[in-house]
Amino acid sequence: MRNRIIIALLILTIGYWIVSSQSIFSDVYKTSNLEQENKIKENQDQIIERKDENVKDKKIDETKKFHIPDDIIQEISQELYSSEPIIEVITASKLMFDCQSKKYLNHSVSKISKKYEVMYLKSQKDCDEILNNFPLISEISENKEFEHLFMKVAMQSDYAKFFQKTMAQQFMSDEEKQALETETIKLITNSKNAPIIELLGEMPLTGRSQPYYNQLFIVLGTLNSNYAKLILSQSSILFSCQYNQGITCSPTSTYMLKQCVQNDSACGLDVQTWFQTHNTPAHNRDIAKLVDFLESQAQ
Amino acid sequence: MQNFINNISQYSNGRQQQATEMQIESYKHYTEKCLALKTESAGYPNDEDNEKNTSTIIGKIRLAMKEKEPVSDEGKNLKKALREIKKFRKTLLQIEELNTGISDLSQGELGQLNSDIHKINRELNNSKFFGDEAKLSAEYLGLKKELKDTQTYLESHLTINQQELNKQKDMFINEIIRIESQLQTQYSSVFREVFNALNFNYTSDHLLPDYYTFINLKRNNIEFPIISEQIFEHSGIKDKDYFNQLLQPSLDLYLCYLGEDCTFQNSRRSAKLCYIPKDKFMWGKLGLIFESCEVNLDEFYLQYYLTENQIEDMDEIFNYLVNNYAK
Repeated sequence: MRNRIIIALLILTIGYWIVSSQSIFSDVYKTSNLEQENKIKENQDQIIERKDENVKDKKIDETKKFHIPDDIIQEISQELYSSEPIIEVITASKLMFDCQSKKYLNHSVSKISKKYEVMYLKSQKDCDEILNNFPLISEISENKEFEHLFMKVAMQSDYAKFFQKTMAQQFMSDEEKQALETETIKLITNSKNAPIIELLGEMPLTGRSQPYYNQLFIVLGTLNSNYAKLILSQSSILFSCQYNQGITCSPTSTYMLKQCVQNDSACGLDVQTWFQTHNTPAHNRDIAKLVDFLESQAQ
Repeated sequence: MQNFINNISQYSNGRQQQATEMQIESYKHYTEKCLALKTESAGYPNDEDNEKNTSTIIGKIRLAMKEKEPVSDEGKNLKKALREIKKFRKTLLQIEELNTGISDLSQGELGQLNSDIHKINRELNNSKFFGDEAKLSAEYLGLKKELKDTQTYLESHLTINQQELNKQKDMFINEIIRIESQLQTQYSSVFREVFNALNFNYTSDHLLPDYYTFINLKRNNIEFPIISEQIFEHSGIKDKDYFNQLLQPSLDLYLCYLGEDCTFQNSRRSAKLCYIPKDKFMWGKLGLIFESCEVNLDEFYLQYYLTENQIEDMDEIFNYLVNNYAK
């Protein structure tokens, strides 16, 4: 299961699009409806020209077999996290991924405190609920099948153009990659979706993200990218608290469970309270600066 | 040099497209100093006793230094500290060796068991990333049990000389206490060497001791508060990641306070920040910052590197260092 979630995360975050992306793109391109096709074509002509013609026709028979079953469509139209099905798929995947991380964390801890155990068991109840809400998605065991579901839904969403671009990264110049990175960050910041916003903190610092970091440098008043990265990861969590009933900030969230396993006094606290009691006032002021920055970017 | 100029965009994470004049000038100055050192050491004999350092410039200089008696008070203090550091590292190695014990199993059986452990560990790593959720728990726990059984079997065939081990441990703790007292020095060179040694840190780039160090000390049942941990506890800061961002600048500024040459032309830290390209695995983590070639290290930290808020917390660490170690 983890594989397919990683794929979703990668598409959304940095887009180190895996080798198979090219064939998926062609498949989706050829099987999407006419209106969507025109939309895609308009944006992709340039990219397609640069693509290897042979790749375009690869595995087409294989994908024709795949259709999104109605019950899956129903499952992702529940609007539990978003009215946009692709955001719903990504969120569900990210939450399932978080559940997996929590399980792994639990396996790797040698000494378990009573307080942590209570929190872990509570978090498992949340996880059961997520699996109950998305029984079909959680049962897809083939990566390929999930990739196809993901791309089909993505291509029929308002974000189709964006996803096409992420798939064509290998043909892009450095400037185009930087522009895509900036667009990705903007989409994540504007997503109004807590689990997706949390991804900001996981963005690796590379030449692509440097333009974004340059802005953070100005806001924080530092040229230390490691520090900017640390504060970004903490502020993106805090910024995400306002969405989806604060699921990324609750005492059973992945972030707080990780704190709880290291420090008993974190158990049972939400992110806001934890930051207030754990961080120095100066540290919190730097976090607040970036939260304000993220707020301004999201408007 | 050309590689540095051509790849500055990569080394700076794309922040710069061209190397600045000051960067090139400083890099040139640095290279010349290295070359001069190479020429100077060409006539020195190789350090034959230390295979690792044979023929390296550092090895040669180290050997030459060993034979010279320091004249200055700083030199004498530094030599004394280095001698004691070497001694405690040797004791630590002996403890590790004694803790490993001697096995009565044949070489063949030992090799087989170690290869089994390696295989199980590989499977464990795979299962945690790619295991099916329902299967994960049972599979993972099964492998963990297998690993534990194999390790227990190996351990049951080991004999440890407990008496000698305890003797070495006592010796180690005494050596550490003796070295710790040398942190109270007026010389920046002595402070740096002693600090890095007490932090069990062989490279000075990562200030909080790495995971390996912790495991290593734990495995050898050595209860010893690592120096950066002690500072952490006294700093009033509870977030380790945040603290780690402050420790390096605090220590550097303390070294400047002790009189270390912190001009951007001669400071080792300025060089690392400004023009010494990290290897390909390092770049991306922290790009070169050309401003560190334009002002002295203390000014760079305060003006470009630390946020106003960080400076407030750094003061606590800096004051702790001054109050506890400055002579």
